[in-house]
Amino acid sequence: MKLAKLINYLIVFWLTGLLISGSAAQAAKKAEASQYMTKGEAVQLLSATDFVKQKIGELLSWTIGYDISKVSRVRLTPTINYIKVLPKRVPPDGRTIVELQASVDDPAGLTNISGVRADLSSIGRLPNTMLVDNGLFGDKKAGDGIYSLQTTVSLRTLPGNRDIPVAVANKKGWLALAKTSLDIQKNPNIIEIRINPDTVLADGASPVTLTVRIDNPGRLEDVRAVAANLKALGLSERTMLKNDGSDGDVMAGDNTWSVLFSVAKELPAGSYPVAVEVTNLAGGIANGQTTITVNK
Amino acid sequence: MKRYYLLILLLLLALPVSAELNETGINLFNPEIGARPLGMGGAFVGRADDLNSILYNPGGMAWARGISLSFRDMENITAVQAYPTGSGSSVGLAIATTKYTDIAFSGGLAHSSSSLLLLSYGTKLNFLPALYKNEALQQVGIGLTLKSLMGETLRRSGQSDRSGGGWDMDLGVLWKRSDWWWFGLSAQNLFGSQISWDVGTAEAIPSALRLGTSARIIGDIGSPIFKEGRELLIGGEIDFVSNSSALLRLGGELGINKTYFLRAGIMQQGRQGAVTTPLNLGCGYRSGEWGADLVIYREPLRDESQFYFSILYFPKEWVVSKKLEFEKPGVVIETAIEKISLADNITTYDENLEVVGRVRSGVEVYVNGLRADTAADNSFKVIIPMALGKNLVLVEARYEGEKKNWKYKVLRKAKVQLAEEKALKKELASAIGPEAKAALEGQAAEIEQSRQKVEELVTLGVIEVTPEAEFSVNASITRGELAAWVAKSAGMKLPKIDRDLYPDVKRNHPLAPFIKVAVDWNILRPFPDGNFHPDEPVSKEEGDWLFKRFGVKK
Repeated sequence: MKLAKLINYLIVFWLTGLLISGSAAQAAKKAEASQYMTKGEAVQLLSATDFVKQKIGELLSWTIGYDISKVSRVRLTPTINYIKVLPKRVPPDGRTIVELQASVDDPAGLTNISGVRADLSSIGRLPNTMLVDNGLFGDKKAGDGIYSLQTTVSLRTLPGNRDIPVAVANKKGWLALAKTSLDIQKNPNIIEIRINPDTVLADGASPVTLTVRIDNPGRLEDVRAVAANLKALGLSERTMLKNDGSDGDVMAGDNTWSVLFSVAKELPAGSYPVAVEVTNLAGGIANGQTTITVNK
Repeated sequence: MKRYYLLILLLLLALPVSAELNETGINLFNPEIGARPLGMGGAFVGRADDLNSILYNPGGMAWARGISLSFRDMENITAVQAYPTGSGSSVGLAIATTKYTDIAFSGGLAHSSSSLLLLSYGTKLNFLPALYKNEALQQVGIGLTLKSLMGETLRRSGQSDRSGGGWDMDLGVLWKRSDWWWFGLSAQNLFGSQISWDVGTAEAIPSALRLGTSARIIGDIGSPIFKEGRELLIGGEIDFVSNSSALLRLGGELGINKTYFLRAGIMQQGRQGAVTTPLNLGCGYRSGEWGADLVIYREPLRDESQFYFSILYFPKEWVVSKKLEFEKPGVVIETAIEKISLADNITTYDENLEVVGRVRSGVEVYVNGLRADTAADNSFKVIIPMALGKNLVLVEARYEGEKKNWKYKVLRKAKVQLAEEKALKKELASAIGPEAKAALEGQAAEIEQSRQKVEELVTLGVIEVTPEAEFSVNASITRGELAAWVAKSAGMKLPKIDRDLYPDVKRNHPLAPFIKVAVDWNILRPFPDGNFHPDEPVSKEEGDWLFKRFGVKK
């Protein structure tokens, strides 16, 4: 019983002590709070100074300080790193595939790009054609920032350089513009006509190689025929050159067509013209000429 | 070919002058009328940006629109009208009636009255697509004015009265080299025609070649000196007139809020071999589609001061093709933007501002110099980041070489969340009884006021508060913080710190420059122990002492 009473006393004593010490701490804290300047007080006092009053007045004024330096010059538009068109020369045949690629970027990342469009009206196609970056429709890899488009040049398109403007828009509504050009040509180009050797013995046996290097608008596969007129040498008026790696042609499928022939014994010595004609599937034609010297 | 043209030009400038009108000094075919050009000392060939183009430089007619009525008195009235076709050109018609009395000349006094009818056409070069692709040529206007003198009656003392008429033509070019710098050329009375008198004689009409330039030195976006609400235009011109020596004209126009205009200019005038250089003074007023101009100038014929008054009306949408409902109506650049979400003087807390609008077909929109994407329905929507404080948003419409700017002012204030405000909201939600609520609402008003002040200081860059952090007004301020706040708000120049300031303020302490400047200015002092104690709270006594130094008492 005595122990219980003692415990009760101890508890009361402890609680009283606790109460007294708590009040003292609170009082100390209050004293401390009133002893120091608060941020609110500092703000009030600072706002009351003449220089801050003036600055705030200027800040809130609609007639002071709105000059050209207040125009945001943050780069917000997407960027077009490059535009590539392949092939560079295309026939207006409506079937040769033209691949347009635009490498784009955006200050907020590629996910901010909302669309890439090309104006193909100059080649007789839609003025608002979308390029894609989904790994499909000729696009090599999805999400790499290289947008692609495959198209053809309309039959109605006239030869010459045609501009293709490309526009990139981002999700924040900004637009970047750039353009590339496409050379619309129907006729192939004869880059080089070579006869090896250029001086030949008329013995009916010495081999002569006629080689023609060609630049065809579009694909090389669309070269219909490369023919040489060897009538002056006593051969065919229309001798076909080959690009299959045989009959004097070194490599199949490259841009060089060749034919192997020899000059007849009866042919008198002299210089003989060799005319070459190249035709393609687009209806284009190119002519060239060289000479061969025949010795007896 | 060039030599041939030069020869023609020289011949025109050297045409002989007969002694009828010319001996009196009256030049009816070069009417210098219009209160605004006269106010600028007649130096208007290089400006030609209003209806007076028809009289000074028809090259400016490509952009002219409206009606004007100018008069000196009831007998000297000029009416001009210019109507845009909607395809980069305007047609103009003007009639000027003039009456001069008691003009002294070598033979006595002369009196003249007549009417001059002018028919003008000015166009941009858009009818030559190959040339018009060139951006510089998109800002070139060319024009011609056919002039017909009707019912000229000339009375001279001691001589029989004469009546006569004639016609001639002006050609003009105006090149807007940039937004602010223009050039003009006007060849007046190019054909060297004659005035035919009823007595069977004729006299040559004096020709003139006028070369001028104008520059908007101070003005809106695109001017060398940007000054909102003010515009200073200066113009200069040299005139080669066949019956006079070369004349110089210099003038300027000061615009205030695009409403009030003050003009002054010196205008050399030649008469009977003598050249005078009087000063012209003018003023103008514009309100919406209306305007009025007044000038006091020296009338050379009688060498006396005269007033000229002009009333102008220039409706924004006034296009022939639109009225005729052509398939593709032309776009008037002033109305190229059909609607826009912006209004002037916007206050926002948002980091980004969304600008939404719609333009007319074919119009390109640029916001802050960047091209906005327009959808198929001609609408556009862009998002612009807003800096803290003042922002200027420039919206530009471009259409076939024409462009127009609009600017909008935006104030972005810093958004600050006070810790006390948040706590008070909770207390208010759980408050019981009207008295407790009223007391808390009183506190809320005080906190709101504090928040506004904090926001202002954060917007000014005095206080730095990160967006996610709360600001407590009841927290005590440290000595370092106070040093920074005061130095920033007072705009004190911060020193470079290349050594430790105190044992507890090393050279790389983020507040070191502020502490240094605060101590240098004797705003805060280090402790006797040699330390500054930047993280110690500022005592009330110390704070009060500091602000007293700035004239602020609690």
